[in-house]
Amino acid sequence: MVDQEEIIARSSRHMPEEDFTFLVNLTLKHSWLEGLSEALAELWNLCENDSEYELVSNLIDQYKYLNEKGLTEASFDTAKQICETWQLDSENTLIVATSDKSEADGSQFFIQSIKNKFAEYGDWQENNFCSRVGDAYNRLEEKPNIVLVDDFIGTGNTMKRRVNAFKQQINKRNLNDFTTLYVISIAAMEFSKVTLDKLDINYYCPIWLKKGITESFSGEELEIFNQAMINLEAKLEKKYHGKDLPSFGYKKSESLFAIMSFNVPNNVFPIFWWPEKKNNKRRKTLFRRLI
Amino acid sequence: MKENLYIHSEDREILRDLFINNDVLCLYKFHEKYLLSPGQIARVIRKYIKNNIFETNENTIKLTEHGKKWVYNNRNDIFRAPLNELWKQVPAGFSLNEEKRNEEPYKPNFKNIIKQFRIGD
Repeated sequence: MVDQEEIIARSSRHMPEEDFTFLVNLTLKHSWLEGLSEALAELWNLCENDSEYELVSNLIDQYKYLNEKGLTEASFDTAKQICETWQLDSENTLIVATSDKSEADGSQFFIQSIKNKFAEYGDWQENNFCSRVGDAYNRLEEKPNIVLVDDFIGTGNTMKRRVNAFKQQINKRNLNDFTTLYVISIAAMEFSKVTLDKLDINYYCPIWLKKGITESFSGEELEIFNQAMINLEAKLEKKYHGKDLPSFGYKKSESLFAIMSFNVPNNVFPIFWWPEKKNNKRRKTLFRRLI
Repeated sequence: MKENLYIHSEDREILRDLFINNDVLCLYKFHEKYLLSPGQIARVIRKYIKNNIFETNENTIKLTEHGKKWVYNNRNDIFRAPLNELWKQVPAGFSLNEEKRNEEPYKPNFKNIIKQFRIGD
């Protein structure tokens, strides 16, 4: 929901009554759409037949959108998991964003958001939090518990790479008996559990998500909606800045998740964030991602 | 206004039309007439239903009895008070404070000035 004081734009052109009424009702159902009417109308206009309309409306119904309140709740939940369930204390714990680059990313944003939630759990300080994995490698001898945090786990492969890199560093420093690894994410795809389970670590995630089409429909309906998504994606430009459109989301993740003001994960269906239609025509999108 | 509701231009347009018509109005009419977007309409509906000012039924809205009284009693605040024109508000730290500018006149950094020039070239 947008702030009561925020100005919401008028429509730039008239839309048919049926479409307008449907979009009002959809917005009433999902308050996060309030400030996104133009992008919503553009997405709606991408649809050409009943199955496409039905699919888009169904995916929006399933969409998990975290606003400021949702992010705060997830952050408190994370702090509780670390301090109460896992019983990790400030003396022995280093919380690390999974970012391996100097550029800002979602994991760093998340670590910023959880920091102050530890205030009520004893003597946590700035040096318990680390915004890059590279910096954390040099501190492995200091703390036996390493908690890796990320904003979203899609396929689980990125987290797998990070965990394995940490395990290598731990090996190199002969800290196998000293260090325990943990993983936390705000949200994750259920299918990533297969990958995470194989890592043999403790992991926690307050929000688990199903694939938007494959795991939500079956039989004839599944076939119809798969085809509808293929048709919708065919109306988008295939490449942008030299990168291919990730059909059904990166590695067909079919994710429906976004956190307010974060870069939307590329695991999300591109109809929600891909910036161009065919012939390089710009489009307004519900979510944004720097490509 | 005891509800302390934030009044936008779309609130005014919808409340005025509902009050004048004193009847049920179709939501689409507000889009047709004022080009109000689904987001604007949804916010207005949510806000006024919560305060028992509107009631809705299948894509139409009308003022409740309480709503009619509320609009009448608060007509000055709703229709005559200047709207908060947010786009005109300059965020703190960005406004050019005249007083401050007079106190601190612009002074060039002489070190950065290229002094090698000749008059008459």
